[in-house]
Amino acid sequence: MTSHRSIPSLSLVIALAASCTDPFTFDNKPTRSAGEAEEICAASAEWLPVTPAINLYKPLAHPASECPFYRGGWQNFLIATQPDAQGRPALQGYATVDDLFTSAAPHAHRDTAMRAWLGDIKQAGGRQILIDTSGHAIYYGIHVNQGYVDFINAHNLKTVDAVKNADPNLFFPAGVVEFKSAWQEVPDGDPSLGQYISTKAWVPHLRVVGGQIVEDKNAPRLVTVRLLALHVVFTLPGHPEFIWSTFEHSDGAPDLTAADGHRNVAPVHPGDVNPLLTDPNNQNDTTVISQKDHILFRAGTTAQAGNRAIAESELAAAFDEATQTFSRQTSIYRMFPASKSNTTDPDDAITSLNFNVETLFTQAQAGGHLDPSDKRGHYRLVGAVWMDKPIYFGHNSPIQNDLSSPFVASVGRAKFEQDIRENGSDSALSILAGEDRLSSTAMESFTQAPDAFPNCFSCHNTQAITAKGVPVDRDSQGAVLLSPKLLNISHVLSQFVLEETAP
Amino acid sequence: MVCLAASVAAGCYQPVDDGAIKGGVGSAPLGSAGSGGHSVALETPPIEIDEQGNTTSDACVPTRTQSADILSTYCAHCHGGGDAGAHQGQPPFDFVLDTPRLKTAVSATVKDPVTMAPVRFFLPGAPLRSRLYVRVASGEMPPPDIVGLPSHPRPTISDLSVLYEWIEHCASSSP
Repeated sequence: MTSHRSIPSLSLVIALAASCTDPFTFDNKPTRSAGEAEEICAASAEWLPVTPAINLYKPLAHPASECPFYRGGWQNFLIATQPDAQGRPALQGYATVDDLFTSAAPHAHRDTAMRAWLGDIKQAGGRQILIDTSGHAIYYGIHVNQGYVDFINAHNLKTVDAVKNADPNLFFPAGVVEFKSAWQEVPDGDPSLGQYISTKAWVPHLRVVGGQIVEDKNAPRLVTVRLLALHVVFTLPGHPEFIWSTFEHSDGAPDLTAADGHRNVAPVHPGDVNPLLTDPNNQNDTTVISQKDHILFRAGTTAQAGNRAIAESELAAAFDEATQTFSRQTSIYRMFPASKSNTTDPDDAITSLNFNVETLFTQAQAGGHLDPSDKRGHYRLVGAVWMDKPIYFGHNSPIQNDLSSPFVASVGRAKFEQDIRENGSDSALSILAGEDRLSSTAMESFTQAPDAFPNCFSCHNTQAITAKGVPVDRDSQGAVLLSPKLLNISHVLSQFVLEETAP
Repeated sequence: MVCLAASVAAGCYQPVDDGAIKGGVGSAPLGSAGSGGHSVALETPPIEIDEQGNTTSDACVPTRTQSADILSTYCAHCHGGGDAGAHQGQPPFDFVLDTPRLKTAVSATVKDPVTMAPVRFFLPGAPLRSRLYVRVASGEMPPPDIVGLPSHPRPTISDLSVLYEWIEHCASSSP
């Protein structure tokens, strides 16, 4: 929660307490708003140099600190990106969709000359393609920890039929972690690699077929890639909906928030403002976001021109198969500077934790405890979102602070909408906690706007999933891949079904 | 952590007051402590168990407490042994809050699919082979509502997730 949050009106709290349908009892204990001090979210000295597994427990909900959730994100990030003896991140050895499931058409082992490791260049939601300022597509990877592998094996969810017929009430237990990574192709020996987690990776060969960009995973190229951003998504006891945290690269310290100006993947609005309610897509905003190139942003792009996808047919015409580059580039900026709907002030717990992790790396480096290949300190936590009231995690549920919320009926639509608008995820009526406008500029680049897919649960819920990787109520014409089930919260399973059933 | 001044002393995490750390190693490229008005804190904070400020360093403590609350809420009114509805089940099951006894109890009617021995009520490390968990997760328990009688509140998926973790990882050390 931010230190600047407004407090829900007393009448609203009383109305909640008096509601027969409200599951929460009235709590007259003082909240933590009185005598607020700086919110401190500690890093742990034992996280470096080798990061241990996280403690699994259900943290307290609001008004208690959100720190344990953010710490879980950071710790899981450090575990997954721990460099091995060759400097490769641990997640390069983690299971992928290829490893997890049994394909009807067997293929070579991934990350070899016969099968790509990364790929899936089309983003979830609209299947748009993100092109960097060098004309390369950004490559994505999906990876899971051993807990995820064990769960799939224990329930024998190895085939399309098994996944489709899975018990709709089966849920992911605590300790399951999945990752989505965004990688940029760079020249071998690029001088920037000293500040990035990087590796050699097999990526699909791209070609144009029928006016569309097609990825051939079975004829890959070996290239050097650097990590731009990473989603770290993990379960805790009581939180089978996952905690959805995301990280991005920073070009240096001090970098506690996006406003520090070191997030070099994409900039934020120079006015440090959220989109106006009257212009949610910034279509009328002619502000130049930045005069400086960023990895995914072209200098001089205005707010209204940024975050626009290029039609695939146009991209196909702009593609050079020989160099695997496009002559067009997209230009991306972060629409919500603090990833929150109601404020541009980042959560104190995040800034404090980023500061403490920065300090941790500084100390480890100064003390000679950090392997030179360890680049983990060059990344920052952007935010995380989870259910503040996980009792509402259920079958066929949208998991949003919208008209589907159970609180609409108990307090009325007008009060509900007003309180969510003013207080965001700090509202007593919010079923979500953390950053309710959380997107990765490298992974959900084109869907940050409030009327698109403005947070992780916009796509990841327990409703039926379509071939676009979104819930069926956001893509009513799309082919349904999976019927409603609790496991649909993770799209690893639907990605497998999509790959197996794609024409 | 947003702390009441009083609760800081009662258990909220306090930052390490280390002037040397605050000074940082400013020339190092990865970080420069002292910026942004934050205090350095590099000690693992204790786990908050409740809003009264009680804490622990054992991750299983909150899981056990939360599990006991769930069983009290949804099961104990029939299976707790102290109420009018006790001694229900076959054999009489009135000890749902008695973990040591849960660990030794077996079903009189159902076999463990792995061992073919009578299934245990509570098998540490194996929630899916624990009768207690399976019956709740499958929706068999609490029993379906009967028209005209008070309805049985049902545990949520989130509650089931806590029970799963308790049996999977925290039960072997449970008293």
